Amino acid sequence: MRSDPRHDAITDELQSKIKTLHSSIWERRADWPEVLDWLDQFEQHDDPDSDEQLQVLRLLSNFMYFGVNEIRALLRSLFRDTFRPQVAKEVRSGLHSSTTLDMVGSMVDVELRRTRFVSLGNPSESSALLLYYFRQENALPKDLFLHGSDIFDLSAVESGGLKVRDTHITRYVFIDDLCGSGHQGREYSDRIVKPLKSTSPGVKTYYYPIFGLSDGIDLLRTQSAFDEVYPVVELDQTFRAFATDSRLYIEPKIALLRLATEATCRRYGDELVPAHPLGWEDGQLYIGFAHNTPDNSLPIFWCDQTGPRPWRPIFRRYPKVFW
Amino acid sequence: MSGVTLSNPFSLTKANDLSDDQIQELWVDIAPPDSPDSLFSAGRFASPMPTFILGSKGSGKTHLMRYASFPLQKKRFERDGLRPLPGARVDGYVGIYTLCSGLETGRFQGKGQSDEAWLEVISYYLELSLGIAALAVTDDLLDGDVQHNIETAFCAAVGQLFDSDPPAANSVGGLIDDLERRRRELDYQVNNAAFTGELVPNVTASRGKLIFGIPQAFQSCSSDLGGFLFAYQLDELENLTEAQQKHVNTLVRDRRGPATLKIGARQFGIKTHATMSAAEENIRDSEFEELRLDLRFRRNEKTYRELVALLVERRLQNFWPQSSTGLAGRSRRLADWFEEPKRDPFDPFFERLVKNAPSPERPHMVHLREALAGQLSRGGIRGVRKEEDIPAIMNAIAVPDAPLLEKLNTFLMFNAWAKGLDLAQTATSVRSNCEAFVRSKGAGPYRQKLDHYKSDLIAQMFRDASYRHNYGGLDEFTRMSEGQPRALITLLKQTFDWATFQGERPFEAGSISIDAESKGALAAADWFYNNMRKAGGDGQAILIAVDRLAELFRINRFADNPIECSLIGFSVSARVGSEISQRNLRLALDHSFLVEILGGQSDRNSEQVTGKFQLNRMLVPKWGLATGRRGIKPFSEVEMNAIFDPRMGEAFEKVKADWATRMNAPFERARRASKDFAESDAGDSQVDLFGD
Repeated sequence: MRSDPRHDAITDELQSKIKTLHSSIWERRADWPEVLDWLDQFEQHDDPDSDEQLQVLRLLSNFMYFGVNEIRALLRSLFRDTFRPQVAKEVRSGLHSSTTLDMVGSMVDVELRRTRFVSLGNPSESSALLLYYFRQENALPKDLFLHGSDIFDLSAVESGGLKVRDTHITRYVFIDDLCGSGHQGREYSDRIVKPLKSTSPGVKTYYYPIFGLSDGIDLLRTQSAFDEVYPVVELDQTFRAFATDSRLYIEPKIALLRLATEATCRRYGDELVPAHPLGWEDGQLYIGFAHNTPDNSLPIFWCDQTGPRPWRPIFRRYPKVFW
Repeated sequence: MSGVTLSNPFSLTKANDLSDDQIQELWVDIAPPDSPDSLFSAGRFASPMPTFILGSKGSGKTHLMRYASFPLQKKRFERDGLRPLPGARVDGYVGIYTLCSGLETGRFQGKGQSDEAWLEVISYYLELSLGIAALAVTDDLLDGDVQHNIETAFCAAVGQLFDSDPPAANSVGGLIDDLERRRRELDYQVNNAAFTGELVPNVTASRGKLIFGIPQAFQSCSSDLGGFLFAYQLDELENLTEAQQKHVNTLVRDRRGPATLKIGARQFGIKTHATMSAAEENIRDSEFEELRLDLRFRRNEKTYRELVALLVERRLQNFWPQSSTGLAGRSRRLADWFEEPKRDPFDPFFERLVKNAPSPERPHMVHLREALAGQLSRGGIRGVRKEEDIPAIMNAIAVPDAPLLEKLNTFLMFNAWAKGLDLAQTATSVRSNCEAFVRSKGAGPYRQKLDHYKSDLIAQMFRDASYRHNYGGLDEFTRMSEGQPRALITLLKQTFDWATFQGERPFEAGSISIDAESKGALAAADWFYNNMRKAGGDGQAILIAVDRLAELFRINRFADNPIECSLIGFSVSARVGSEISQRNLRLALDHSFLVEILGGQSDRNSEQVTGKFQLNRMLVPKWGLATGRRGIKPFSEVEMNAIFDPRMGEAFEKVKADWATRMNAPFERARRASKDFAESDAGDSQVDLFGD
C-alpha cells in the first residue's frame, strides 16, 4: 500500500477496525497479509480519495460476516420469534379469546407435529446445512424435516396424478440463508409450492430466509405462492453499498467517495462477473457467512478465478458447479 | 499448562482470572522464597506482625497473596511430599485468603438502619466468614489419628468462644455447617432489611472471638499442632467503607494468639488507620508493617527488569510452547524478540525520515530559516542583521549525512536565540562542537545535549514527517509499566495481537516489528485511558486533568526551545492548589493516571519540599510523549488549578498560550514577565537547559 502521511492516517484507522473484526466477528478469516494480498489487485493513487486500495479497504472494514455462532443464533430466532408466534397467532385466531395460555401452547405443539421444515434446493447446498443447525438449535425431532422432493408421492406420477406423500401435514416451512432479488424463491415457488397448493389447497406454506433484501421479499409476497414470507433480518435499500442512501456513506466526508468507489467496484466487477458486476442482479451487498459468501455480494470480495482475469478473494465464495 | 489453549500467551492479565494451578505455574520471584530479598519474604506471611500489602492496580498484590494462600501451599506440600500439618510448620503459617469484594459489603449500609447497627452486623459477618475459612483449613490440617484424638476437644473449645447458642457439633465439618447456617440467616436478614425494615440479627460471638479464638483453640488441643500462624489474608480492602476499614484496623490492633492479618489494598485505598479502640490510630511499624509492591519495583529498576523477564519467560513456557522451552532452549535473549526504535544519529533511518531531502529542504531547517527571516525586519536577534546572515548560519549548522544532529543544531540555535546570544557566533561554535562529535563520537557537552534531547528531537522529526511516534523494545515497555507487572502483560498482549494480525510470528521467528509494538503500545494506552470513562464524574474530572497535563507536555515536547527535556513530570507544593484541584490530583494518583515520583524535591526557588508526580507512562503513547522522564516542571498555583480544576477551562487556555509563547520563537514571553503570571510562585523566567 502507498505510505505517506495522508494515506497512513486512513490506513491506520481502517486497519485498526479490521484487526478488531478479524479477531472477533470475522473468526480470524482475514489477517493483514491476506488483506494486503487482496488489496494488491487494485490500483494505488497519490490522492487518497482516488486510491482504489483505500476505497475498497474502507468497504472491507464494513463487511458484515456472520459466523457459525451468529447463524445458529439467528436460526433460534427464526423458530422462536418468527415461526412459533405465527403458528400461535393462527391457532388463537381459530379459538375464542377466553382460551388459556396452556391450551394455546398445547395446540401449537400439535400443529408443530404436523409441520415439515424443508430445505430449498439441492441437499448438497447450504440450506441443507442450515436445516441441520436449525434442528440442533431448536431441539426439534428429525422427522419434522424433509427435502423438497419428498413432499410428493412420486409413485403416483405414473398413474397421471400428483399426490402429497403425507396428507396429515398442514404446514411446510422453507428455510434459506438469503433472499436477494427473490427470483430464485419465485422459481422454487412455481416448481414446488404451486403444485403443492393445487394438490392440497388447505396446507400453508412459509418462506423464511435468515436475511432478505426488501425488494426480494416484496416480490415474493406479491408474486409467489407462499402464504407467508418473512426474513429474520430485513435488509433495506440502505444496505446496498452504493445506493444513494447507503449507510456506508452517511458521513459527509465519506459520502464523496461513494461514486468513485462504485466506479472502482464496477470496473473490476465488469471483468470478473460481466453479467453482474456489482453482485447477482445488482445486489451490491457486503455480507458473508461462515458457510459461504452469497453472490449478491460484490464480486471483488468473493470472486475466485484463475482464468483470463485471475482474482484472489478475501471472503471466498464456493460456487455451484454445473456439469 | 495442561488443558489451556490460548491464541495469545498474554491474554490472561488479572490474577483473579487465574486458576490455582495457573497462579502456581506463573509465579516468579526475584530470589529463592527463603531469601530476605524475595517478594514472597517481603509479604512476611509467617510474621505475627500484621502487614499491609499495598500497590497500584496490577502491581501483583493478588498474585502474591493467592500464591501464599493455603490451597497453593497444599500444592507445594504435595510436590515436596509433605502432609499439610508438617508443611504448615515448615512454612510457619497457613494463608486464609478472602476477597473483600466477595463479602459484598455494599449490602451493609442504609436500608433504614443506623451506621452503628451495620457496623455490628459486618463485624459479626466477618467473624463468621473468617471463622468458616479458618475451620476449613483446620479440617485439612487434621488427618488420621490426630483428627480422631482431638476433634471432639477442639469442637468443645470452639463452642466456648460463643457468647450464646454455642454449636452442638462434634466434628469440624459439623462446625462449618453450623457457622454457614448462621451466615445464611444473616445474609437473609441483610438482604431483606430494605423490605422488612427490620434487622434483628442474633449475634452469638463477640468481635475477634472466632477470628483469633479458633487458631488458639486449635493449637491448645495438642502440642503437636503448634509452630505456625493462621494468616488471614484480606484482599481488596479498598472495597470496604471507612467505618468497615476501622473495624479491620481494630482487628489489626487487637491481634492475639497464633493469628495475624495480611491485608492487600490499592495504595490509596486505605481510607483510615483509625480503630474503634478509644479512637486510637494504628501506627506503621508499631501496629503493622507496610509492603509497597510497585514502589519496591520502581526503587530497584534492575530487580524489576529481571522479574518481568522471568514473568514473560514463564508465560511463554506455559502458554506458548511453540516458543520452545524458554530462554535456555532458544538461546536468544528475551529482548532480542523485540525490534528497538532507532536512536543512533548515524542510522540511515533518519535520512529516510527526512525523505532523503538535502539539508536546506529538511523541515527543521526550513522552520529555523523562516523563523529568522520572519523576525529580521523587527530586529532583536543578535548576530542576524541582514538577509545574508541567515544562509551563513544555516550552512554552518547543516549536517547532510546526519539529519538528527542537524536537528539538534537547530535546537541549539533556538536556545541561543531565546537567551539573546549572538547567533552568528553560536552557529560557529555549534558547527565546531558538532564536527568534533562526528569525528570522535565521544562524550562531551554536545553528546550530553544529544542524549538529553534525543527523544524530543526524534519526536519532532516524526511529527514533521507526519509519522506516528515509535514505541518499542522490552526495556521501554518495562519502563512504561511503572512497576506494575499487569501493565507490562497488557502491553505485550496488545503487541502480540497486532504482530500476529500483521502476519508476524512473535516469539517463534524474527523479531516483533516496531510497527506492531507501537500499535500495541497505543492500544494499551487507549485501553487504560478508556477504562477511566467507567469511573463516573470522578473519572471525567481525572480525564480532563490528564488531558490538560498532556497538552502542556506536548507543547513543551514540540517546542522550538523546550523548558524541560522529555517532560512528563511536575512538582507541586502540598500547600498549592484549591481543594478541588488537590482532590483531583489525589484521584488521578489513586487511579494510577499519575504516579508519585519517589522522594520530595526542593523547589528551584525555595526550600519548600514539594511532591513530585508524573504521567503514568502507560498513557504516554496517546499523546506521543516520552517514556524516559528527565525534566520536572514546578507548577505554580495558577497552573495547578488550571489543570486540575475542570471548571478552569479559560485559565487553562491562558496557561497554554503562556507556555507556547515562552517556548517558541520569537520568544517574547521568555524575556519578559507576564502580568497574568506575575504572582506565580514557580520560576517564570526561561530556564537554560542547554547550559553546559
